Amino acid sequence: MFALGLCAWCAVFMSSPVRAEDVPPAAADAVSLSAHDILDRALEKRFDLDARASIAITVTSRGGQRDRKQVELASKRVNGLVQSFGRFTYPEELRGMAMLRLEKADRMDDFFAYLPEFKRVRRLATPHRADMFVGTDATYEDIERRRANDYDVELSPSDVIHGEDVWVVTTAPRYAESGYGRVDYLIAKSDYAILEQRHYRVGAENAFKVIEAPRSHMRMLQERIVPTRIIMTDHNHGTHTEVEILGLVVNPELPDSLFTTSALSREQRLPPLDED
Amino acid sequence: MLLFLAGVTVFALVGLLRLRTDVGYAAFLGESHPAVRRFDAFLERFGGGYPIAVVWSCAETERCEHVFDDDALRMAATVAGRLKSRPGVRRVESPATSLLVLSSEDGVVARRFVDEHGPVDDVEFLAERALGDKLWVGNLVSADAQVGAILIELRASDSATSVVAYAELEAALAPFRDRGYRYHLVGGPIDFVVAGDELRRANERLIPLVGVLLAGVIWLLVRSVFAVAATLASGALAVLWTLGLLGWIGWPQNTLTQTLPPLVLVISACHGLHLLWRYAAESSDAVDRAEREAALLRVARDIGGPCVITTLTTAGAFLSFTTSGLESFVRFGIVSAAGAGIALLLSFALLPILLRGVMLAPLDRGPEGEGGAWERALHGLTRVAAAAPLAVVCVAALLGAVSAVGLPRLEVDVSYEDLYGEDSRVVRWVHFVEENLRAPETLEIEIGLPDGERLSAPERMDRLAEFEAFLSATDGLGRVHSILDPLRAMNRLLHDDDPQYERTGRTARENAGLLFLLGGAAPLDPWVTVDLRYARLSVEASKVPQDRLRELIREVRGYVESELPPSWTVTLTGPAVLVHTMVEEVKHTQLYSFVSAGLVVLVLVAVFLRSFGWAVLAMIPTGLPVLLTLGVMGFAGVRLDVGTAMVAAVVIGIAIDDTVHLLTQYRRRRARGLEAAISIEQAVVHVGRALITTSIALALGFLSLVVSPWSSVASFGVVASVAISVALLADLVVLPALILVLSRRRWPV
Repeated sequence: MFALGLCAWCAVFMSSPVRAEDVPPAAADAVSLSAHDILDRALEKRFDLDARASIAITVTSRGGQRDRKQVELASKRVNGLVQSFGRFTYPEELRGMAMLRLEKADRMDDFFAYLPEFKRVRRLATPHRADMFVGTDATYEDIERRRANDYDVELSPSDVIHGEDVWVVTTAPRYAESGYGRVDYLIAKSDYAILEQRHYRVGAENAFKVIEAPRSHMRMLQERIVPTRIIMTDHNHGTHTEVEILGLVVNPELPDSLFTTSALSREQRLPPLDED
Repeated sequence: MLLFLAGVTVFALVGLLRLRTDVGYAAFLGESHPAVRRFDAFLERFGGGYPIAVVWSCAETERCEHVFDDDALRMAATVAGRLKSRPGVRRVESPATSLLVLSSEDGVVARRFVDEHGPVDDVEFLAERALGDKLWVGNLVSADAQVGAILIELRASDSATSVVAYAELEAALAPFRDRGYRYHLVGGPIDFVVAGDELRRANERLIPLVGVLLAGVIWLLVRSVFAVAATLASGALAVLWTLGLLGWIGWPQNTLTQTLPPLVLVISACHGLHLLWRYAAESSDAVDRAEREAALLRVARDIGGPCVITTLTTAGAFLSFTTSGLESFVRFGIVSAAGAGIALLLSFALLPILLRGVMLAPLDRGPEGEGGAWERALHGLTRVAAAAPLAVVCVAALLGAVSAVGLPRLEVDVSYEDLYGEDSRVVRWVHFVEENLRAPETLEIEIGLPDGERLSAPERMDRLAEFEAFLSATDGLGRVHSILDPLRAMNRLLHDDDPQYERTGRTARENAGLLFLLGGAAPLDPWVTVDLRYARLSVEASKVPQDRLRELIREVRGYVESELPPSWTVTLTGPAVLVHTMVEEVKHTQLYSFVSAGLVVLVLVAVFLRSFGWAVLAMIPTGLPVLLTLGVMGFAGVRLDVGTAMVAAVVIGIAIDDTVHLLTQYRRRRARGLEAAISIEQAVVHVGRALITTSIALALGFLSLVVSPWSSVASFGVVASVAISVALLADLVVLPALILVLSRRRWPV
C-alpha cells in the first residue's frame, strides 16, 4: 500500500539523473512568487504522471531489524484522480498479494487488498489519515496526493541543504484530521525539486519525521522531477523507511479495468516493464 | 579554621544544588546491570513493556455511567491526545482513541469511538463490539464497561522519562479530577515516582523527628541547650557536606541515599556525645577559659584515637556494600562511608570551636554527678558479669549457637504492600486495578528466531500458542498479550466474522498475508519486529510473594528449555523479572556485605589494637547482636526485605564503636598494671554512660524510621534499633564476662 502511494507520489523515472545545473534556473522568475506559488509548482512538478514501476521498500526498525518488500506498480490518472495497482513479488510469503488504491476527491482514498491464499478481496478502511501505514513510517496522510491549496503557507528564510539553495515553505494543513501541526517543504530554487519535508507535531519545535529525496537519485522526464530514492525517518519511533525505484516506464498504456477490485480477484497481470 | 569550614560549606551548598533524584529500576540496579540492559534492549525493540495504566471507574464519579458515555469518552480522548505527543511517550491507547477493528460489508474497517468532532454517532454499536473483543476487555475496558483504562507506553525505563511522563500525566488529568473523576495509576514508573515521592516527604518529616530525639538524649546527658544546639549544628553540617559531596560526584539520590541524612546525623551525634561527656568530666574543675580549653584538648586526645578507629570501622562496614551487584548499594556504601568521615571531622573541628569559643560555664554532668546513680548502676552491671562470668559467656554462646541455627531459615522477600505500606496510594491503586480490570504486573518475554526463520511459519505460530497456553495456566500469571490474538481476530474478520476462523493461518503465506492486513489496521511493532524474527509475549502477573515469583520464573525457564526449540533465544524481562532480580541482588548483598563488613572491621580493629586476638574478642559482642537478631527473625519467620538486608553490615559497623571505646579504656588500665577485673570495671564506669547514651541515641535514631510509610525502611529501623540495644548489653555484660573468664584462664587479656 505504501508503494501505491509512493508510486503516485514519486511518479517515477529511469532516464538520466537530474543535476541542479542541468535544469533551467527557476530563481529568476521566482523572485515575485509567493509561498503558495512555489509550493504549487513544486507539487505540480512531482505529481501527475501515469507510470508503471518496480519498487523496493525497506523498513528498518529501532532495533536494526530490516524488512524488504518488492512491488510491481501501475498508476494512472482517471478523471484527474490517481488510481494505483500493486502486486508483491518479494518476499515469497507475500508474492501475489495485490493492493488497489483509488483516490477520492471528497474523502480519504479507498484501499483494497487481495490475498491469493484466501482468494478474497477486502476493503481496508481506517478512520484517520494520521494513522500509520502498514508497518512503515508513513501515515495515510503522507501518501495522499497534496496540492498547495491543502495548506496555509508562508515563506520562511531560505536555507542551504547539501550545497543547494532552497526555499523553506512552512505550511499548516487545512484538511481535516492531519497528524501534523506544521510541514516544512524545502524546495530547490534551481528547479522546484522537493528535497526534504519536515513534519512537526502541533506546537513542537523539532521535526519528528523527515522525508528526504537525495538529489543524486532524482530524474527528470517530461518536465517532471521524480525522486527514485526516498528516505523517511521517524525520529519519534527511531525507525526509517527507504523506497527505491528499481524500474520505471512513464505514461504507459494502462487499461482502466486494471484499477478495479475485479482485476484484483482475477489476479490480472500488469503490463511488462519495458523501461524508457 | 572557621573560614575553611565556611568555604567547604559553600562548596557543599553548590553541590547540593546539583543534586538530583533518580527513580526506577536503573536507579536501583544500575544502568549497566545486565537485567536493566536486557530490559532497555527489549523496550528499544518493541517500544513497550514499561507502561503506565490510568484507570477510572464510572462507579466513582457522577460524570459517567459507563466508559462509553459521552463525557468519559471526551475525557479519555483529551487525556490520550495530550499525552500522545509528549516527550518520552511512545504510544497511548484508550477506549476513545484506540482502533477497534471490525468486519464491514466488503472488508475490514478500523474504527475509533472519538473522531475530531467528538464521539461518533454509533457509539452504542461500537461499544457492543468492543465489549466482545478480547483485545479490549480486561485491557482498555472492564467487562461491565464500568472501568476504563488509558495505557501509556514509555520510550525508556530511565528516571527522567518516568518523572517527566508522570508530571505530564498529572497535568493532563488535573482538570478532570476537578470535575469529579478519580484515577488509579499503576505501573513501574508510577511505583517509583509516586512511592519515591512519598518516601521523600516522609524523610522530610523524619529528619526533624530524629533531631528532636537526639536533642532530648544530648540534653539528658549534659543539660545544656547550647551543647545540644552545637552538636546538632555539627551534625546538620555533616549532612549538608555529605549531600553536597553526592551532588558534586554527580550521583543522584535514590531510595537508599534518602536514609543518609538521619544516618549521618546519628553518627555525628554519637561522636558529639562522647566529646561532650568527656568534656563535662574533664572541665568540672576548670576555673577559667584557658583551663577549659586545656580540658578540651585532653578530651580530644583521649577519645580522638578511638573515634578515628570507630569511624574507620563504620566506614569500612559501609564500604562493604561495594561488594553488591546493586549500583544503589555501592553508591550508598561509598557516600555513607564518606559521611561517617565528615561527621568525625566536624565533631572534632567545629564542635570544639563552638564549645571553646562560646560556652563559658562548665557543662552540667547531670543531677547525680560523678559517683552518682549512673556510676552505681554501671558498677552493679559489671559485678553481675564478675559474679558468674562463665555462666554469662555460656548463655551468650548458647544464644549465639541457637541463633546460628535460625540464620539459614531467613528468607528475603518483598511484598508490594510491605515495601510501600498499606496506606500508600500506589498500593491502593494496585488493589483497585487488580479487583476491577487486570493483574497489575507484567512478565515480558522476547522470543528470537535464528537468522533466516520467520514467525509466519505455522509450526512456529503453534509453538507460540502452546507457550501462551502454558503461561496462562501457570499460577500467578494471567492473560497473555501477543500477536496471536490480533492475528486470529483478523483471520476471523477476513472470513466475514465467522468464529471458526478465529485461528492463525494454515500456511506461512496465509499468516504473512494476515500480518500484512493487520499492519494496515494497527501497528504491529509492539508485538513483532518488521523482519518477523522477534516476537513479544506480555504476560499479566499478580504481585506475588518473592518465593512464588522465583518459582514461577523457574517454571517458565523450565518450559523454555524443555519445550521450545533450542535454536530460539528466549529472554524473560519486564517489571516482574526486574523486581525478582532486585530482590535476589539484595539477598546476595546481605550475605556478601555481612561477611565483608565483618572482615573489614576485624582487620581495622586488629590494626588499631595491634592484636588479632583482641580484634577477634571485639567481634564477639559486635557480631552477637547481629546473630541474635537475624536468628530470631529466622525462627519467627520474619523475612528480610530491602531495608533489613542492610542491617547486618550497618550494625556491625556501628556496634563495634562501643566495643572499641571500652577496650581502649580497658587496655590503658591494664597497661598501667591494674588487674583485669578492676580494669574492666573502671573502663565500664569510665565510658559506660557515654556508651549507653550513644546507644540510646542510635537506637532512637533508627527507631524513628518506624514512622516511614515504607515498611522496609520502618523494619530496618526497628531491627537495627533492637540490634544496637543488644550490642550495648553485650558490651556491658558479655564482654566484661568474657575478659574475666579469659583472664582467669591466664589468657593474655
